[in-house]
Amino acid sequence: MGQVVVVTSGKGGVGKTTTTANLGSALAQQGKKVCVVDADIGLRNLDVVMGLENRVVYDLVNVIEGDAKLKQALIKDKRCENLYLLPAAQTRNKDDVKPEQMKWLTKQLAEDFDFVILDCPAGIEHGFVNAITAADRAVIVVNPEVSSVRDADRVIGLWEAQKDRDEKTAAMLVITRFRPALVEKGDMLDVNDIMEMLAVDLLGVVPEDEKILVSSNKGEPAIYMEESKAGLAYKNIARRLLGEQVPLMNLAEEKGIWARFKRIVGFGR
Amino acid sequence: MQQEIVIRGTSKSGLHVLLPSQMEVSDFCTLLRRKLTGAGRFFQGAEVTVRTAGRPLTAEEQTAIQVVFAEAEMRLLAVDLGEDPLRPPAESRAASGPSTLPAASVLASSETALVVTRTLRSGQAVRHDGDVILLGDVNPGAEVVAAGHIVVMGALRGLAHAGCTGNRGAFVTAVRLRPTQLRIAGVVGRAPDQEEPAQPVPEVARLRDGMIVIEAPATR
Repeated sequence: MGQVVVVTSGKGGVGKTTTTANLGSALAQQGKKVCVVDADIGLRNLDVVMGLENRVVYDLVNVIEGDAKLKQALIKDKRCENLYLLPAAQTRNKDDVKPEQMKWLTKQLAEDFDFVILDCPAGIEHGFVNAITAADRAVIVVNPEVSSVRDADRVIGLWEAQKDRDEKTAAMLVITRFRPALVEKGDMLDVNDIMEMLAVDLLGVVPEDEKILVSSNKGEPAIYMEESKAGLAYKNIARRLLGEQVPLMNLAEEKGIWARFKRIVGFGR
Repeated sequence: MQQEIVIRGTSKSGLHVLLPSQMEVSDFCTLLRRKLTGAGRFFQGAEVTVRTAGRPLTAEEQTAIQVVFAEAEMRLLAVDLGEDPLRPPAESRAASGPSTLPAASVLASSETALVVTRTLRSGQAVRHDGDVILLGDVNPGAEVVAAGHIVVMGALRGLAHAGCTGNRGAFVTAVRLRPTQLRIAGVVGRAPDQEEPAQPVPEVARLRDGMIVIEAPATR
């Protein structure tokens, strides 16, 4: 039986879909059999981010309603052999799926895959409940920004209320769109500030990266992009999810040759 | 001098018997015995705490009292040096004026403290008809509402309402008192819009002259 992981945040636009696509791809790259599921019914876009939009024939609701077999609806990724996508229905809405049905679906998938990753919709309503009911573990995506942290706190509370709070179901945090330069100036929440408030395990910190925008538009996850810091961060996150000890990468930006020189000589930080 | 011995019932910790401050313990025992025998089997099997209002008892005195209770088939739970818990402190009595609201009943219910052993996250709330002791944090967007006092053994960053049924003597204390909003009885206060100090210290918020003031726990 594989693990069912939900990627959620409460707040919208913090990078759930990006995280799902990259985490799924990175896990698949590590040799795991992975299925990413778009649970955002009615607002489908995981397929777009992964560049698989034109291959969608059947979707999640078709499977649940018995119009298609699960195998028919699964789309094989174009880059990675052992990565599959189950797309959401675009013409339906979240009420068309019940939590038990979602649970049944993920259980089916978990029999064939090592990881089933659910891309949760924003908000804490029906779609969110569907997704968290079906999941064994939760990855909480948060931006270093007060309202996002607040929403993440709420979501972790709901997650903990839903699950027994033991090691296995503990929520894990991914901080995205992190900008070290702003933190250094004191204009952005630090990793420590966020951790103090949310008090859950940190899975990784993904720096703000223009390449993410490009990758989403091109339908190519950032982990495939050379020299993308965000891509590297996601690869590390995947390794940590597999239980490997990977140190957090140094996010401080090099400030030209003079700063580097000073650091070598031993002045400044 | 004929002083009456007061026996009070509490909801959680059984009966409370008050040792009047000027009374000899031997007199107390005599009066107590008379009162208990007069009550027949009414107190039989009850658990009782003696409150001495700060007066320490010798071992002999304590045994003597215990014997009296044993005769009436009652069990002495503890000798408490504390004040009468049902009487509001002098300060809050003054604050709430002569003909007070039922302060006694409010405080009586606050005998039962609720102990919460987890962090309250945004959207979670604890409401209790007594004191609340919370081992964890109260995050922004979370609420603690209590008829009595609120003690947070962690960071209080959310909303706390102590004395919600009108007890103006209620206080809120936390290891890190950084609430978004504080309410005591009917008074609402909010955190100042300034940076928090580098070194957080435990603080207490209570009502003084109708305003919520925050002070170090030691000052009274």
